[in-house]
Amino acid sequence: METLNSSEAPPNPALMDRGGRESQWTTERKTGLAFAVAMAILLTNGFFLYQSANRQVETSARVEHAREVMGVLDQITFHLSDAENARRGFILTSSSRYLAHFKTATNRVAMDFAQLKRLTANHQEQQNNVEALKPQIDRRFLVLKNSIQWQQEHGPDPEKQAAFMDIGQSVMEPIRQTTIAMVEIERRLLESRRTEALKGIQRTTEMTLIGTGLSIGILSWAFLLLVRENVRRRAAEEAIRGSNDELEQRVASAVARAEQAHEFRDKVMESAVFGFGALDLKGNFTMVNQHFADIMGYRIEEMIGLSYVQLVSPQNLAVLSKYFFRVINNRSPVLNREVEVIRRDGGSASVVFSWSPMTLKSEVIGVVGTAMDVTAHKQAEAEIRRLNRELEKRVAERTAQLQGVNKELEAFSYSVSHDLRAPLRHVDGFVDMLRQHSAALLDDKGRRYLDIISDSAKQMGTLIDDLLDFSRVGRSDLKRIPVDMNRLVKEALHELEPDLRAREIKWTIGTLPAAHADRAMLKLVWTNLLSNAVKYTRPRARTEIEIGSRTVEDNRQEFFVRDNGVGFDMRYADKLFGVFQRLHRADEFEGTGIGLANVRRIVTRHGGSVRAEAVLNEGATFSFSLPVVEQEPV
Amino acid sequence: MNKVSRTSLKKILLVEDNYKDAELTLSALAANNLANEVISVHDGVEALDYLHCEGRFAGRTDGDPLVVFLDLKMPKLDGLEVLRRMKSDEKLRVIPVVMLTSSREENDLVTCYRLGVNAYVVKPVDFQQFVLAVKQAGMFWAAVNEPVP
Repeated sequence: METLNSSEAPPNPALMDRGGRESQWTTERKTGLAFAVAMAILLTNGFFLYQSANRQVETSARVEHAREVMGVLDQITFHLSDAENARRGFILTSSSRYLAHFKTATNRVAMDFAQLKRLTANHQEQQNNVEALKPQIDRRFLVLKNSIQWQQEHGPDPEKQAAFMDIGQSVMEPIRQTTIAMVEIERRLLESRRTEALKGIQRTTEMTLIGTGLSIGILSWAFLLLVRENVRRRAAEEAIRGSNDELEQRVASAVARAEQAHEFRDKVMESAVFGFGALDLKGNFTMVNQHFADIMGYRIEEMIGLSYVQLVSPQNLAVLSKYFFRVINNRSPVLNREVEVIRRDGGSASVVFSWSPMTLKSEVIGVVGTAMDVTAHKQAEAEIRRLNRELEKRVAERTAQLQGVNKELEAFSYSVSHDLRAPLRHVDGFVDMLRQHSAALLDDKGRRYLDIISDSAKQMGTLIDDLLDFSRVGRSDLKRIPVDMNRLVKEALHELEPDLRAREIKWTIGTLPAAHADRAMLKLVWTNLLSNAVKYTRPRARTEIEIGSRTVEDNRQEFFVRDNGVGFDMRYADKLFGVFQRLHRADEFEGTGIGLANVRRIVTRHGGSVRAEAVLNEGATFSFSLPVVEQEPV
Repeated sequence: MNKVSRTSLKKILLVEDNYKDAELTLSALAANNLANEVISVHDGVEALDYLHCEGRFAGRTDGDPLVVFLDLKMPKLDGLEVLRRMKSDEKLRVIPVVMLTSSREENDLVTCYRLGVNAYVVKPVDFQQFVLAVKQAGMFWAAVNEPVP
């Protein structure tokens, strides 16, 4: 599209001629001209027609005139004849009647002559003739009169009368000639008039025809032009309408889209649980959303034009203004600042706001802000802090309580171990001393009884120790650190060294992942499990013990000790981990049955779990799982 | 004077409140044929009296014991207190102290060692074991160890 020069009008398709160039001779001008010309022609025609009509009238008049003249001339001739007849009559009859006729005829002639004179007043030649005619008529009448007079005087005299007739005849001749001449003149005039008129008519007709033809032509041409113009115009109109329609549609849809977008944006603005606002460079609000208005306690309309200055106390104003200018001058946003604002009703609220510059073509035109009412938040925070403090106080109290309880328990188990062990010691000690002292007095049975007493005491001692251990395991704090399991296993095995000395054991130890646990307790777990494995594989000629691990779920590691020992009946598997529970008799395998209980207690305290699987007489697998660790092992 | 004569002249102080335990210990010590005489006192006060040559033992002139076997749990002054006082006394701290107690509690162990105990023996229930432990301890202190001159 060409760029428009503002001084030029855009090309008007209505003005385009075939070549597409804009024509000076617009159709209007052409048709205007055509009509003007046609009009002119018509006017001219009209004029000429008028003239012609006039001439027609003139000619008519002239004809009339001529006729009249001729008529009069005829009249004269007639009346002259009348006179002659009257004379004749008189002459014949000498009746006075004929004298009256003669007078009448004479008068009539005179009248005719006067009329004739009048009629031919404007024609010199005719006037001359008329002048000529007068005397001629006079002479005629003289003759007639003379005739009459003779008659009157002399009575009938045919001879004289014949002579009068001859004179009369000869006098008639010039009249006739004159009359003829006059008629001729009139005829001539008429003719010429007629010819003129005819010519005029012809000319007029021609001109009219031509003119009309031309007019028709021009008008037709104009009509064609107009038609063509119309067609073109209609086409253009159609096109324009079409493109208008299209344009309208596009505009409508664009408007609709814009409206939708606008609505959508508005909705977004209004649906947000953030306050939005825009400020101009002076710090006055140009736009706010409902939420922001609500925060401030104003109506939206009230806020437009308000300055941020009016929304904070004087103390906060300095900082806020500093932020504002930072945004508009440095174009750097100010994020998540907390400020106390003053609502419309004078109350205060805590608001966290962010300001960012609004730029158009790299010019800062304003500031956009978001705000969040954190008053409730802050109150909640304060409440939380208060509750936390209370909680901590209560926790401290409870901890103290628990610590107290723990201490009591410690003291309890301490005294238990001490006080319970002492009598046992004594029993065993004095039994021994008795055995020594009264050896001679004792028979086998007696000795056996003493043995039983002694063993029972020892057993009770072990039970007490185990119970103490179990209790300690439950009471003491877990110190969780990353633990190198392989190293731990090695250490546990080392502790079992005395039991391993006499044994042939094939150890398979996999690479164990690190664990996050209390090292001492975990060592206890391994010691228990390993010593069990060693113990319960004693009947085997070739003992195989495998130690390994596998990942069970995403966040658990399972460690296991598998042996090919005597196993156990799975039906009683759930009893295994009970306190003092054993699935074998004391004379089969020693032990109080506290080991696995300890294992379970320790593992459970770490958030893990234990399980056992076995096949009787084939072997057993004891596993424990722990949550996964992500740190460097120790 | 040679070591044997030096040591055999010295006495072993047993501080034990329970007479049964005392009897057992004495019996064990006797079973080991230790030449040393064993003095038995029944609470911490008496122990200190002996060491300080006071109270019942005022006017004692037979010198410091070779070793003190000390029980923890005793009425009046308990073993820990006796230990503390002994180890903070300039003259008494040189005397070896062996805790002889049924407690294996970690706290007790730590505290005793912190206070400077020389040995810590747990009294087993098994009498034979006990006899063995006593024997070993006695043998060590009486025969192997070089006493303070």
